[in-house]
Amino acid sequence: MDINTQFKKGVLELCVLALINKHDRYGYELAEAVSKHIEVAEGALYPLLRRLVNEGRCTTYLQESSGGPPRKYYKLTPDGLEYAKEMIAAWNAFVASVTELINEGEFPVQ
Amino acid sequence: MNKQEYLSALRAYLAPMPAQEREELLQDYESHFVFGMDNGRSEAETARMLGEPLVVAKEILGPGFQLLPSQPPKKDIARLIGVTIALIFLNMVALPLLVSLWAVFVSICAVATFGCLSLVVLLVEQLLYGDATTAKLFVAIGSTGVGLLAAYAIRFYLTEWIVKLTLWYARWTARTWVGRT
Repeated sequence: MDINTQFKKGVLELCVLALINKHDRYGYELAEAVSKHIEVAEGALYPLLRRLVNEGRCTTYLQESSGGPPRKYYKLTPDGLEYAKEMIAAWNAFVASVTELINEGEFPVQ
Repeated sequence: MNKQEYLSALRAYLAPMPAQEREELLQDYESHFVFGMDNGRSEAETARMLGEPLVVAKEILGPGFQLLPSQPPKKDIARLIGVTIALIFLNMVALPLLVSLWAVFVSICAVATFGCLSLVVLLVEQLLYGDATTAKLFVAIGSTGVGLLAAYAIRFYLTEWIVKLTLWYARWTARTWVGRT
């Protein structure tokens, strides 16, 4: 497993929280929205979503779709919203620190 | 890999999960395929985008679950035969040694028993035949001392040692024969 895969696994939760925060989404929609920005195995999404529901960060509701199976929408709970805010703040701080550190290292810019 | 193949592979890997949870998740993956079709993706394409069923199953089960091996590990017949032969030869030496150690132990037990009883034996001899002598008395006292010493050793050391040694050897043999897993 390359480093990039590990990074992606770590931030997948953050991406999903950010996406659901914008509006309620169903699984396939989430997969598409994430894949647009980062290449990730879509199969990892469902265990993540299940965990978020079990931890009380999300709730789900079903909505019938014409022809196809009902769509299972994911919605942030107040607790989930709080959690998403914390995660995003922590992420921003983390990225800023790492960027600063790399700059201090004065790596040659390619 | 088409939808059916993908889902049945995933179902097989998720066998350790509670049935209801598993079916709910499989429903999610099945829907994913259908939505993919609606968006012009082929089943093979969706399967590729989801990732290998084995990898996905690992993700779902987490580190707490052991994935079921797809086939039971085969018995290594060659190793079994080799170890059996080696153990037979080893036991040709080790078993007689062990038996003789037990024989020594039993004879020490006999020494202890009769040593401790020697004064009683002398008393019986005196009562029945009346030919006890001072020399015999001293020998009997000496024997009692040796008997008590032996009894002490048996009680506090020898029994424990020999039982431990025997059990250790039995366990080692069994473990070596079956093979560590």
